[in-house]
Amino acid sequence: MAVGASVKPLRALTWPDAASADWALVQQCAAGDESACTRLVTDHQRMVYQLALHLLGDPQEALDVSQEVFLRVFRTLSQFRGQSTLRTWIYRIVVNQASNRQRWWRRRRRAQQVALDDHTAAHGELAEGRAFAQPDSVLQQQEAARRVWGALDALPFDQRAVVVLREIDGLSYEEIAVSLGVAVGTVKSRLARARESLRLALRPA
Amino acid sequence: MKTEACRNQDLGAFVDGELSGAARLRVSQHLASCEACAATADALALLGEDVRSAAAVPAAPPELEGLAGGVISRVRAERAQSWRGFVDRLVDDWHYALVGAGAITAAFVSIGIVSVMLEFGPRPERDDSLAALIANLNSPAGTLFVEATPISGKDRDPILMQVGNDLPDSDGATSGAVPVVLRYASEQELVGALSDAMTPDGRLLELHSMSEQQRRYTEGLLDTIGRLRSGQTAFSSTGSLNVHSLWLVTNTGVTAKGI
Repeated sequence: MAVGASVKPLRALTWPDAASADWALVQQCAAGDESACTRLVTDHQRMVYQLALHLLGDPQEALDVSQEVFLRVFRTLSQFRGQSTLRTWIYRIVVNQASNRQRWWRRRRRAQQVALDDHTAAHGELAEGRAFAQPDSVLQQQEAARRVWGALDALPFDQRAVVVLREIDGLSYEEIAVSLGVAVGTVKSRLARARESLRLALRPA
Repeated sequence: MKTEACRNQDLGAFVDGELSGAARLRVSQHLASCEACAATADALALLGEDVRSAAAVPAAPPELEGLAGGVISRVRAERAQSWRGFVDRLVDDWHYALVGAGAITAAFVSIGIVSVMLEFGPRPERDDSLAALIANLNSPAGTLFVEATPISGKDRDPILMQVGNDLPDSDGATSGAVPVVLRYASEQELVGALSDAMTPDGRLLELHSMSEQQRRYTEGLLDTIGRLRSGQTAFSSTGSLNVHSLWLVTNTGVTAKGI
């Protein structure tokens, strides 16, 4: 190391920093700053899309819900008080929008029309013609993924949302409770029931 | 085999890392001794891994890149359609009119506030103001003090007499009209006569500036009043007082003026 050189430690990003950054971004968006609105969307669009996709299982539905989510975010931005993180607040909107969308489809008997194959195809399953070129391990992974998504798809929406938020998005029980608007105890019980259902569904025949 | 202790273990929270230190330690100790619960915990952890593996999302669709633009456009359109946007457009060119109206309103409000303050606010009163002068003239002029020594008693100490003094009515008849004979029955009448010896505007004549007749008259009044107040019967009827000084303690400015 050169003589006289000094290393200045970087300040870690703490929760107040993140909260104030969220708050500043929200304030700018509420004031009509379009660049801030764009930044809010680009910062969270992948997270929103993936969660919507995991909850609904359909890429096109996930895209539509993502757009509805951000519209909802901007319409209700004045209601954000900073009591939770912006991310958790958006999670909650995603879950609500996905739940509404699923309920709407269920009324139109769409639930029976969405085949599991459609979902797995959307998640990267290769065309039949190319499947022969895949190694056995890849095919096994795809089969395992199909079984997991089938089991998830069979869960009630509330339980599926808890499993997705916990296992895929890695939220804590408290964050899940805030995102779903329920108590932590409810999160634990839903998660326990969902895991039991998944364990039974994925049990080797 | 599952026991009662096994049912009390929160394995899900343990696998998720949601247990506090003591609870986590308790579950860890239980798992070390219970193969069934250890297998359940492993199964839960494996289940989570399976879900995460299955959730591998391919690259974001290209439509996602245009999401921000689409959302912003819709937000802008919604704002334009909203009543707030309508109002904004409506008053977009009105800012000069609004500024003028605001200035006029502010002027009227200011005038109103000042008017209310002048009408209902406290009024400062100066000593030399007309209102203060009128108030002083309507109030009692003050108290008359007389220091005198009875003439008949050589060893008597001087006495200090306080004479009540209300302003006489300003009828003009008392100015210079001094009764010649002192025949008053009561102190009240004597005090009234003493008040009459003053000029109508409440100013007191100094004794040395009075005429001989007025001075004797005033001294007689004071003498009689003094005797009445002090209860000295030695000069109650014929005695007289040797008045040393006469002063008026008053709230008003008293200006000596020769007659």
